[in-house]
Amino acid sequence: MAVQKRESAIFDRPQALEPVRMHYCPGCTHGIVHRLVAEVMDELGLTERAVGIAPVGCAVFAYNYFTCDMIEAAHGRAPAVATGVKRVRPDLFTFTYQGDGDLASIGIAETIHAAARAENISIVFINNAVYGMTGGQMAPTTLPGMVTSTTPFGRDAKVAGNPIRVCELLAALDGPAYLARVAVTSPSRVREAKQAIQKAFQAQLEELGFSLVEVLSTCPTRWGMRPQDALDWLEENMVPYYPLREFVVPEGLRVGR
Amino acid sequence: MTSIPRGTRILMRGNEAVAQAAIDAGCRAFFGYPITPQNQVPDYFARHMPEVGGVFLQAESEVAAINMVYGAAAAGTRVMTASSSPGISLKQEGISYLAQSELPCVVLNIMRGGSGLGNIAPAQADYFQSVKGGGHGDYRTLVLAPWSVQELYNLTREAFDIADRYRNPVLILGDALLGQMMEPITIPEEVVDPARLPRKTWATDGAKDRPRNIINSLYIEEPQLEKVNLRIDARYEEAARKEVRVAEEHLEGARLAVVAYGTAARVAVTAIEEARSGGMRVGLLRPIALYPFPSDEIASLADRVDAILVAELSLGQLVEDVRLVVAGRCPVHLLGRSGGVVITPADMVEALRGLAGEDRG
Amino acid sequence: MSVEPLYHEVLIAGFGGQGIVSAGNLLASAALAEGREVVWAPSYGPEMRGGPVHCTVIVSSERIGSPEVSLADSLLLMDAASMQRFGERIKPTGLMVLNSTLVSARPQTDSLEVLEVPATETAEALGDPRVANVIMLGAFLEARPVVSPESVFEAVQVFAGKAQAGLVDVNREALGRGAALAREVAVRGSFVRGSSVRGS
Repeated sequence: MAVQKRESAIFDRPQALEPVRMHYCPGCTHGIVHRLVAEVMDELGLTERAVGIAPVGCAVFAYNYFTCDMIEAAHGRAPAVATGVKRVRPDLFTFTYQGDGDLASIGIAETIHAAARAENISIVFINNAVYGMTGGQMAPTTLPGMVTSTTPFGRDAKVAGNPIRVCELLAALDGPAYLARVAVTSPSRVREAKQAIQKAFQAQLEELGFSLVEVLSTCPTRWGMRPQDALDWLEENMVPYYPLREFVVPEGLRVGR
Repeated sequence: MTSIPRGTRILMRGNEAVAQAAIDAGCRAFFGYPITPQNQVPDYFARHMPEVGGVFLQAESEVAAINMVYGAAAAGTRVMTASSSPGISLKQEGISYLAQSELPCVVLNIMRGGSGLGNIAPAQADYFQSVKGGGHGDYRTLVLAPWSVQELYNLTREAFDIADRYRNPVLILGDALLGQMMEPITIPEEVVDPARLPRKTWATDGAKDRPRNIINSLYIEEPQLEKVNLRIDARYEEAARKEVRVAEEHLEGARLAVVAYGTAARVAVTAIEEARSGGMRVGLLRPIALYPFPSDEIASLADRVDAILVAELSLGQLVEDVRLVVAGRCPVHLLGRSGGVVITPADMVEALRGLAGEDRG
Repeated sequence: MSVEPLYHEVLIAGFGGQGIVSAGNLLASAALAEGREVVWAPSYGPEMRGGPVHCTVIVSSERIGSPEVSLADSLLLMDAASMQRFGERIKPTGLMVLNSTLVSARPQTDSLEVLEVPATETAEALGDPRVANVIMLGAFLEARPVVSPESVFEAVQVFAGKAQAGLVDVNREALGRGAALAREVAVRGSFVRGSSVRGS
């Protein structure tokens, strides 16, 4: 029986991703989210006019992975840097890629004010409830009872405070055009996550204002779990605390493919 | 072009002159946060940036403001921020990033009394912070220290060219008095059209028809970081050869010299006039650039005079650099006031008389 | 354009709303128009409505060195508190112009020239209490003609603009009344017109 050869690729590296090996730990979901961002950039044809802002945290080297122009920001300041770019060059597409410590702890002021100003930028926010790069310390999104290197007996809200639900917090403002929380724990979740990123980017292209997609992510290394166990743990523990949904959706957003 | 009268003498506040100079230099973005005594700067930009299609944005903090500057500078725009001492402290991390990422920008510090919250009166106590880097790392900011409203205008305009030339933040160092006082100033007719400035090929402004650009200060490999630091340091060496600026008055035949900048130098002019009318042979050396420091000029001055009096609105910062380059060639004395107290001409005349007496003895 | 040598330091003080800053502005603008060197400097205080305000103006025929006035040639004091704060910030033979409506204290030294001007009362009689500052200025310039009242009046016209054309007439009257008061009211010490306008 003759084998029919097909010439068309059905799976390839997105043009917006550099052909380099990423530094992320095995099982980390950063890679999936990088790929989603790159796919959406490709599909919307953004690479030649995109400026991405990398954070301080595990994604600090993100500037090495995207093929668009990239800026490495100081810890927590990516929304301010993105604001600087976007205000002087509104024709550029500007996104930040930030972790929970960067966005919700040291940079919460920049996050809230960029959102309140309806700054026409897009933020991809990785919430894995832990500081990965610095050694597994408590994050602003660490769940109550969760063990980290700085909450060795589990996060006690009386001592270490309560987690911050970023989307819910920002949804209280008038500025955001699009806010959604997604996860990348299964293929269907990944598809939903990509749609959310599409909507966020589209919101910027339509000049609707601030958009943010919070992606619940795993950190098998700092959580001390195997990758599959981490995905299961996220579903069982994080999703109940951080419900997956769209919080703000602009009317008439032209998305759909 | 903004609606200001040009080519004729007008009265203007120092803070406003800086803002007008920036716009005339082709600066098209200002990010800042309110703090006294520099509030006329953001006010002026808020009113006049729209006339040239530029960006004014009141940031949520000084920290956010300097990082907006970082973004706008990365995108290739001439950009500035302004603040006063405590606010400049907050910006130092961002200034370190700007320097290490080789981004040009202009930062105005209208110094006030310190430390801590201090007060809102004139001071020069941020000298060390200004000329020694200010934040973490091996970088420096190039520092210009005007002494009049006209010079605030002139040097701010030049600061943008210097920042672009050295791809480094340039600091304009004023104080509460210089910023808030009004003096006659003539604003020139010609202005810079930012569209005609040379294109910044390194800017992150969309990787179309060129390889992508990365603006970054992170170099995990040690030799790589050292290489970058040496490259930046070479620019400081070039600046040391080309950007030293001093002004001298009455130094020919002088037995005593005052070394002072900004407001303290203005006070010195009055004091020196009085001292000279009393027969004292005293002159003034005024560093206009504080970094690079006029080391050769001051060293050679030390060979010519019997003593140097450093006058500054601090308890002794500039005097340390002067002593370093004088290296014992002549005695170096300090007349310093702190906490927003301005040296009076009478104070200085008395100090000079004391030195002259010492000299005779 | 004035050519005669001149160096004069003025300190104007009162409370917010009395037009202290405007009086300084008018004086500085007049000096600019007459081709003088001039430095106008405000007080450094937190912004507070009705709080103490002062400003200094140096008018000179030569380049001005120190922009800070330590001891003024002339003090214009518009309320009791400013008399307390600045009563001593004057050269031994300086001119003190007091708004006698609100300042009851008098300097302890005999060497000063003191001009008592009921500025607030006069302004109210003119129907606009806001022009007390210009009455003070008119009286001061009568005693120390560092700029001409015409130049001040021209500055008033620029400041008032079209929007407040009504202010122009009352200010012209205020300048004149101030000058008249300086000629009429009690003068203590050895007041000689223009005596301490010194050359440099």
